[in-house]
Amino acid sequence: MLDDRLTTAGVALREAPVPETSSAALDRRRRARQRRRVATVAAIALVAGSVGLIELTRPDAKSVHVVDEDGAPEVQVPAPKAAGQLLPARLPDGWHLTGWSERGGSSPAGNPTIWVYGQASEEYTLHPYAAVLDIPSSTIPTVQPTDETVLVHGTPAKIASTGDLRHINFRLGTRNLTVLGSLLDDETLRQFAEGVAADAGAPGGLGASWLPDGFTPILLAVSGYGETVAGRSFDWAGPGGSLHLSTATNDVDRIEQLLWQEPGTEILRRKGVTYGRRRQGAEITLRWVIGDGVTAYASSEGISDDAFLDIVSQLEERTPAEVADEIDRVPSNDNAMFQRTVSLAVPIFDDWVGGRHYLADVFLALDRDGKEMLCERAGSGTSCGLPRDGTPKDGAALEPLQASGDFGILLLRDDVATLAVRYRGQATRVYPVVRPFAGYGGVAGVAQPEGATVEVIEARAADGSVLGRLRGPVTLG
Amino acid sequence: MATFAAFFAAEYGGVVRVLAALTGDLGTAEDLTQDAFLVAQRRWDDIAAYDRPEAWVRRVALNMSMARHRRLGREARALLRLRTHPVELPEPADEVWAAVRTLPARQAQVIALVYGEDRAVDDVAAILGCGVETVRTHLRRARARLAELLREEDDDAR
Repeated sequence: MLDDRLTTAGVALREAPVPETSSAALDRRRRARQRRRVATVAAIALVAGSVGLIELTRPDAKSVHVVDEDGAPEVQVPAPKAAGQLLPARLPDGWHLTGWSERGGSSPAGNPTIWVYGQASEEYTLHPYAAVLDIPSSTIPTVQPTDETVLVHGTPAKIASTGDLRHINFRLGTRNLTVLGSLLDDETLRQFAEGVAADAGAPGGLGASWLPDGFTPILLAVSGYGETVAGRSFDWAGPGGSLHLSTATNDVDRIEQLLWQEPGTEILRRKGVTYGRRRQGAEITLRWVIGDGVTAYASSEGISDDAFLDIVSQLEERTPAEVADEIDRVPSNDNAMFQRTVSLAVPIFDDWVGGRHYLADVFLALDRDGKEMLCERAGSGTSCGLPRDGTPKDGAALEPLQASGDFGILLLRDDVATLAVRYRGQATRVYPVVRPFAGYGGVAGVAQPEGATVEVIEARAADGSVLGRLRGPVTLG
Repeated sequence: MATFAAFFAAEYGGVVRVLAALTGDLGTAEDLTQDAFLVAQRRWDDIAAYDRPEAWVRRVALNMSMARHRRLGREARALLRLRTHPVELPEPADEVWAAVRTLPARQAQVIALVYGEDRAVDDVAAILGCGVETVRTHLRRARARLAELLREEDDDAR
């Protein structure tokens, strides 16, 4: 009888074992996603006309076309996210959208092809992953390769343009990187690329002396919140794994001091195992708190436990067995672990990618008493990196962002002092430009309140004169 | 107000099982379930005040499952057109649940909740956000179709 079979199937289902997990795993899951998004390469983002996306890929990516199919939205895009905004979260793990263009052909439906740049190849090949995004062709500028080349880090780099956007494509070691900018002249862009390369890949560059054998500094990513830049993050790739470091300070001297120079500071002193195993040991993530506002991660994601233990043992100058013993002793999925590991409030994750500041939607921070607090990125009214009462940390430069909305980060040439943004139906807002990195141009975070449309962005000099103007509608992020 | 952790502990397994039945893949079910709970976690202050937070999270999870199913279909069509390898959907793990997965989504959800979670019809209606009679209609049609697929006699249809 049908009812018997259904009832039996129901009972079997209810009795089927479900792998253990916990609410703490949700935090890890979110952070793991975010780490994947910034796997190795930083992007400098911009807003240029209606182009508002740049993102780069992990170094072992070849290339991938992400194609639309019939113009229907591929994912459940929240209502405020209009067509044209991409959701990298829906890409396969480790893949990132980097741009879009009509070059390479359009889909049969006439919508633009979207691709992901990969490493070691400038060919764009079809890849069996499809993302369907409804982006009107008319809004997509075409990539125009140029004959121009510049030297970045001693290597010839090609310049291309997409609308107002200029690209510099260059190699760093075995990797192809792209730095993009708007409202920048090529020389400024080149200098920025140079700086990125120097910081990330140069012998003795930041991070180089700290890395275990075989690890290669990949690139530096800038972290920022809203109107100021509040931190940096770094990713390194090595044999079989990756390391991630994020900081709540933008003071490179301080980072270096904490990492290597401060007397009495034990390098990478692990305060405890932050995360336990996830999914039958498929992932272990360790975190070290190195100093005020400096946190490092190592994750076993995608590699074997043995390979991971080798990495950690190198870092800690211990044997793999000793590390494994400690990991096994710490209960997994235990929020209390956080309370044992950190004594200061630090943002757990604060990378930004591709012009959109991808903060973890939910992240965990601790106050000085070790009391856990869950913060939410813009949307809850709580700005990341800030204690719950909104008091700025690490200097008064941090200001809470507005409560919601996406925001992009603009890289601006040196004479731009402010960005004046006029939102449709709203008053013009003026965003100051901060210059955290000498020679890198300025950076400004521009918020786009939920549902708001940017009509005009003006780059203004210190005296208020208009240096450049982007007319909308402009999509941020 | 219950803590999120308690809510999670109480409901996680049930949601995973229902989604496993509907998707045929435990890993996918876990992913979707965690996504649903992530949404709940972010909005816990509001959701905890709901009369039926467990119904809310199931509805979110079921919607996510449906969206995934649609996406797989689109991807498969696109890949076929592009003459690349089609997406391989998971092999059915069980004949009954495999048959359930061939039903229209709403019917499959009703079967999963009624038989998989042993829920009453009015409970299912609350989870799916529809009327009791609507659930009964879905249930009746689902059973009729399953009877064909499984070559069984539908006791209720007699």
